[in-house]
Amino acid sequence: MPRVTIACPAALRADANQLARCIGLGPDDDQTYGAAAWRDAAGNAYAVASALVGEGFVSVATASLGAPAWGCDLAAARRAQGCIRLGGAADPTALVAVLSDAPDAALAELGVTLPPGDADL
Amino acid sequence: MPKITTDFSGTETTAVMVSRLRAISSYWFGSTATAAVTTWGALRSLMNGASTPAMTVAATELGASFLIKRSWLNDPDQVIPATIFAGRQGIWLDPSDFGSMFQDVAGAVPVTAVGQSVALIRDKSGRGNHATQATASRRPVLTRRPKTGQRNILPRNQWDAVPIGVLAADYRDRGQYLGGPLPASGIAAELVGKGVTDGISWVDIRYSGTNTAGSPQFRNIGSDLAQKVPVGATRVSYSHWVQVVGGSLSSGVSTYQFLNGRDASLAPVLGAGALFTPTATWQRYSAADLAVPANMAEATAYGMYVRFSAGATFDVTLRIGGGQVEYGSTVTALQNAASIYDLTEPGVQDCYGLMFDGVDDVLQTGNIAWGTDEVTVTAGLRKLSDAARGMVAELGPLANQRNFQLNAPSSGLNDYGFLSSGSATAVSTTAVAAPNTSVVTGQAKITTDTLILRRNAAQTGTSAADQGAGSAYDTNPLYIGMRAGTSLPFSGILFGLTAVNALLGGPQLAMMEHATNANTGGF
Repeated sequence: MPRVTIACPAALRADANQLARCIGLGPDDDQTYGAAAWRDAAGNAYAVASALVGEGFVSVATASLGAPAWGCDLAAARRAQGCIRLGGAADPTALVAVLSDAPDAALAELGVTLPPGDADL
Repeated sequence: MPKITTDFSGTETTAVMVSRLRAISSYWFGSTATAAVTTWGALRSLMNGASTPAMTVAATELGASFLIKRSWLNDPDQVIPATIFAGRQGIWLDPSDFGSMFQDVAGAVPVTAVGQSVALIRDKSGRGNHATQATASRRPVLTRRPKTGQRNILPRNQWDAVPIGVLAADYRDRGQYLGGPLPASGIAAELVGKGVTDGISWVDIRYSGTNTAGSPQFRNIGSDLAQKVPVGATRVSYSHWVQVVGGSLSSGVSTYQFLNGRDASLAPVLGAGALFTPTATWQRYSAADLAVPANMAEATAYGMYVRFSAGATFDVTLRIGGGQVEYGSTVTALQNAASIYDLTEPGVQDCYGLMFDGVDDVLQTGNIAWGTDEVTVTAGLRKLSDAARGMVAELGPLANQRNFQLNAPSSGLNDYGFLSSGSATAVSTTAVAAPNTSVVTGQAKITTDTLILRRNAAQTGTSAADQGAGSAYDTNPLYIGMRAGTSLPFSGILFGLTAVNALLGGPQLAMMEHATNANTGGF
């Protein structure tokens, strides 16, 4: 199975989580995008998710959406779907997805890093 | 393997006990080797000299150590909970036990193969502290590595999935790569067969045509890299199995060569001995002990090239397989990479672990009523990155609140770290750069300001720093792979995790570390 790593701008997190719930495996997938802890070179904040996905992930993610059995906010999911972009650097206005088996390579393409770690606490 | 057991009433004489233990050891070592064993000392020498893994025991611990050691080698699933967790709180996660892992939180869909995500891994300590992840994207992936460690850094060198037929464009599969034809160069490439010989996956590629370009043209048979360049790595070695199964390669027309990085214009760079001419014999070619190129860390395809001279006409079919790229100056036994999750080596034990992606993967238990201010936690790890602090395991959502945590690395990076807190925090670290495979143990007791860090069954450091107040670690979930599921993602493989609310010593600590190492290969 391929791996996809997605940088979600902080402002798109709620909509993107509804998209994940819509095309995911269950209702808990609306927790896909957590804290916006990652930063691009300009300092923009992103939540980043990385997961194994089915071979047809791109088709599924860009196809017409329908509500799953567990329900979702379809309008929010569709807004997020309209922001999907494949490959390249993270964008504060887009959900940028990078297909790569190596998460570190995907993070490098996205150009996002974690700020220096907490002190040893 | 049948078990051989013996019972003791506690009233036996030394001679009788030695005799019975010798009878068991005869099973392990052979009757000839144990025929002369009639004393504790001789029996101890036999154990310490021939045991696997080695475990030095004192005379006073001989009987208990012998039984524990030999029993857990035979059946650790029964002995470890009985000896370590009896009357104690704790957790034991064992990714080598497929029966303990599931692809759903409810435990209805078992994990059956490497590469599957793990939503639930059951605690084998008997304490019911199972670890779960409900969100699909945040689940670690079951992974396999040879116990001797990872040397081949190609993410994939298997050709079973390649489509037979004309190669109309670049072929890519999980990091594996074949360069397709250049439209203007007159070169055709066709995949005409695939199979496995002596455990080596191969593909037959027919190259034909006339190179109409005004310069040599290259066809890459290679791969991305599966890991970053290790700190301090200066030499790299390439190897590949090749056979000419049709036509021929000849100097001035077509050659076969290893690539050692690329220059600024993305042209392949050769090292000494990297150019060769394959024959009709299936054999391994190598270019060893080359300097690690400056751009090795780039996500560029590395491997082998077929070079067609400008204007040359050719028709050759090559059988290629068994690609390996490894750091160091020598070429070693082939390791087969089916994916970044599945690396094996013929004749070498497999170790199974959970790969955490360093982005968002995390598992979490329910609340654990720890009950004491003591802990011994052991993890079998392959640390893949030192880019940022990584949380292997932490009791509770925040530090400095009667919790303990195992880091790979700590905030100092390029190390392993263990921290324990009452109302203040003590820490010990040991410098080891990624990528690295180790069994790491942390031990602590808040009220005595005890903190010990061990790596590969040897103590590496202590701290007597004040851990502040606290008569017991707080009741909290154990987070595995991130801090509270929100920060400090761990990038690496967890081969096993054991934690218990006691300061283990002697044989029990050794058992915990050796049992973890049995599925890690750290030492």
